[in-house]
Amino acid sequence: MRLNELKKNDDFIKREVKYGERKITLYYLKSICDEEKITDTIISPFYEIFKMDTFVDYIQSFEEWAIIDKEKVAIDKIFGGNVVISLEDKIYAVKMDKFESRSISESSEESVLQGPKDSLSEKISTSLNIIRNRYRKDTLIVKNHKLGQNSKTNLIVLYDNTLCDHENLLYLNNKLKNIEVDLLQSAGQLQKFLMDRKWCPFPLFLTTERPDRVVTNLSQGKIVFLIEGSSWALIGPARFYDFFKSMDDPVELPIVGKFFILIRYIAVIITLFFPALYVAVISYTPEILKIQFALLIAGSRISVPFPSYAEIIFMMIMAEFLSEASIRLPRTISSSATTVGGLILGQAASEAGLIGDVMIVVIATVALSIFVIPINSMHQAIRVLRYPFIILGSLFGAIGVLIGAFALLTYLCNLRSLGKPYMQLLTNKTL
Amino acid sequence: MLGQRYYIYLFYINALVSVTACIPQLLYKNRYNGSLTSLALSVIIGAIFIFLFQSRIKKFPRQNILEILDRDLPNILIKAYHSLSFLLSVFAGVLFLNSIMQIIREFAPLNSSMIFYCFLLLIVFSILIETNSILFMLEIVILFVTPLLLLILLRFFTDHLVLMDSIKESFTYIVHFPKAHSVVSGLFIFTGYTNLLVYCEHIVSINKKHLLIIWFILCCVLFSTYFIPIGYFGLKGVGLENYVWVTTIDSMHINYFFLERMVLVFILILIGITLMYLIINYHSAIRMLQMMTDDIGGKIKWFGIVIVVISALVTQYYADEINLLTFFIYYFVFRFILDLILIFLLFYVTKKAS
Repeated sequence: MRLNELKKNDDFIKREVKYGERKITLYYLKSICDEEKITDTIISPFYEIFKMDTFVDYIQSFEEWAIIDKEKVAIDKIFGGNVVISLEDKIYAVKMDKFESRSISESSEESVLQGPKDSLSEKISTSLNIIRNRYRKDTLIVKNHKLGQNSKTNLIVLYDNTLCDHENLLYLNNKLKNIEVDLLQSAGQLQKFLMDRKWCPFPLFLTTERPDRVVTNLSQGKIVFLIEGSSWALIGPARFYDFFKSMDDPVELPIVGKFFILIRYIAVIITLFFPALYVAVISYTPEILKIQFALLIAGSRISVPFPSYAEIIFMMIMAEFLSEASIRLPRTISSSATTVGGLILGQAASEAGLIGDVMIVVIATVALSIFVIPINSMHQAIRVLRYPFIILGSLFGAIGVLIGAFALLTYLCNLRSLGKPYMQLLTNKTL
Repeated sequence: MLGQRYYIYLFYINALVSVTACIPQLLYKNRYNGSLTSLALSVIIGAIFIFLFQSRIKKFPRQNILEILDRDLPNILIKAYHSLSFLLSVFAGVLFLNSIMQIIREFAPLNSSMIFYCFLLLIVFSILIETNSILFMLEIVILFVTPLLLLILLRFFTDHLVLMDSIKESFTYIVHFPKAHSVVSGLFIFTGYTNLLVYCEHIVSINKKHLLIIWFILCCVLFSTYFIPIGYFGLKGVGLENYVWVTTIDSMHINYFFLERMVLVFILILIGITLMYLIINYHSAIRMLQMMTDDIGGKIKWFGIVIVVISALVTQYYADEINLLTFFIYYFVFRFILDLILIFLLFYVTKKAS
């Protein structure tokens, strides 16, 4: 692209400034440069400094400046938020960028009761400011990278030099160099490029929008990625158990905190296995239930014309529709959608005799327990994995569920996040 | 390197799997003439074996069995030892698989041949993963299984229907000489370390205190597997049961929750333990094969897997005709002989090395 083509853009500004014999020309994009700053720091001094040499020295005192020798470099600089200044014999570029973003808002996806409430910002320097202010150690290292052919997204890699694994850093640097992508817009997208396994349903990196989680992980020797334009940070290597920690846990008193962690694991086990075991037990081995309970289930299913697995899959997919709808729809409509859905699912289906009453309780339990997982990416992975278990349970009974659980366990134990075991319980070497 | 606790897990799973290995049934055969003295003898011999082995193996930290033996022994002897242990591991795998399938056929009204193929698929899928990963898996399986087993133990101690007199009665037959078969079957619980040879290069070497804990746990498992069924069926009745532990659990009333019969839960626990043991066992068999042929990561592991799958399929075909008890006795005897040879070899190697 040449400079002439750049002129087609209506936000491209070419500004000539004259003072007697002296003349400079400024080129920039008005949309990404701070015009007020340009007037204050380039144009006003130009009228105040009388010698051209002194003005050049002044330009060179800026934080980010460069001498331009090629047209292509000039264009890249202009798109990077620089003002290109043509002096008499030389061309300079000075960074004058403006990055519009939200002010620091409350963390909406990972809410806590008592912990700090702020979240990371779309503006990378703001996020870095928040993190640096919480982790004032001299070993915290910040490295810049650029990714994306078209987006040229700024990326910051943060780590504690004394704590983190340097092999991982080398590996990540190589990986980052080899990433070929047109647009990089979010942390989740970057995660896909960093993962070795293409079809892995489990997140191998933590995504978070909470600065306190970022800092906690930095102090554990993990590597953090901040991406410009995304308020989510990516943290690796992650372990399976990291996804079940809420930032409330360190705030709570020990027993209370541990109890809530336990509740989350129970919720995961219920979500994964409860529907499958329910189908398995009532289809194959109802005799292990208490007699009253078995009769209750049989009584509630008396009018139901389908086998139990069809009943449960139907209801669970309905529940998925409901939760998808409430996420994607505008706020005003979503409340009515959930009301209608909830009424139809809960009341009408059981009154019509399509679904047993006990099944509604099962579905409600499962739907509730899935929401306990604090990190969204793990929540989604677990949600997807419920269905294979139901199929196994309906084919082979409880033993099928056990086989599924073993397969899942094998897969999880063999996963490695940046070379670190994903599923190892305690990492204590001597114990 | 992994922590010492993984040693405990390996021994522990080996002890738990004794229920699938029909060890209680084998011991009850001599319940009137010497199984108690046999048990006592196997506890003592087991302790000696465990401590002897530890004193030898700790001299070669972070080494696998091939590297340990490869110092001074002739190549053919090592190859022979490895091929014997490979064959014995495959034999053991087949026995355990058949044992668990018989229990499923008897107690779970399901399509058992499809379940068998699923087991095989799972085993093949699992034994190909890294050795470390298998140890992580073992830890989690034990974490899930142990509370349920403790619940069963607790139920036994609080159950007023237990015939304490039969347990006391069994002690009246203590004045008999130990029987070789019973000693060898009791000893299997303590010889878990022959499976752990492949794993010991990944675990830091174990100290005496941990070994004592292991020995204590193994004794608890051994004695509870022997005495709990006697408490429920009496000394006479216990010999009449084919699957003595499954029926024992079925005799327990555990109606605290919405389940009334724990038998399905127990069968699931049993399958879980046995599957985990099979994975450990077959993985070590494949690793033995790889070490023997110096072909780590090559095609030889597929040869091993083919042997594993074919042996399982063929024996499954004749499953009804196999008398598991006799075969398990053969297995325990061979295992014992191989352990003796191993201890001898280790002594020879350490003597040479020093």
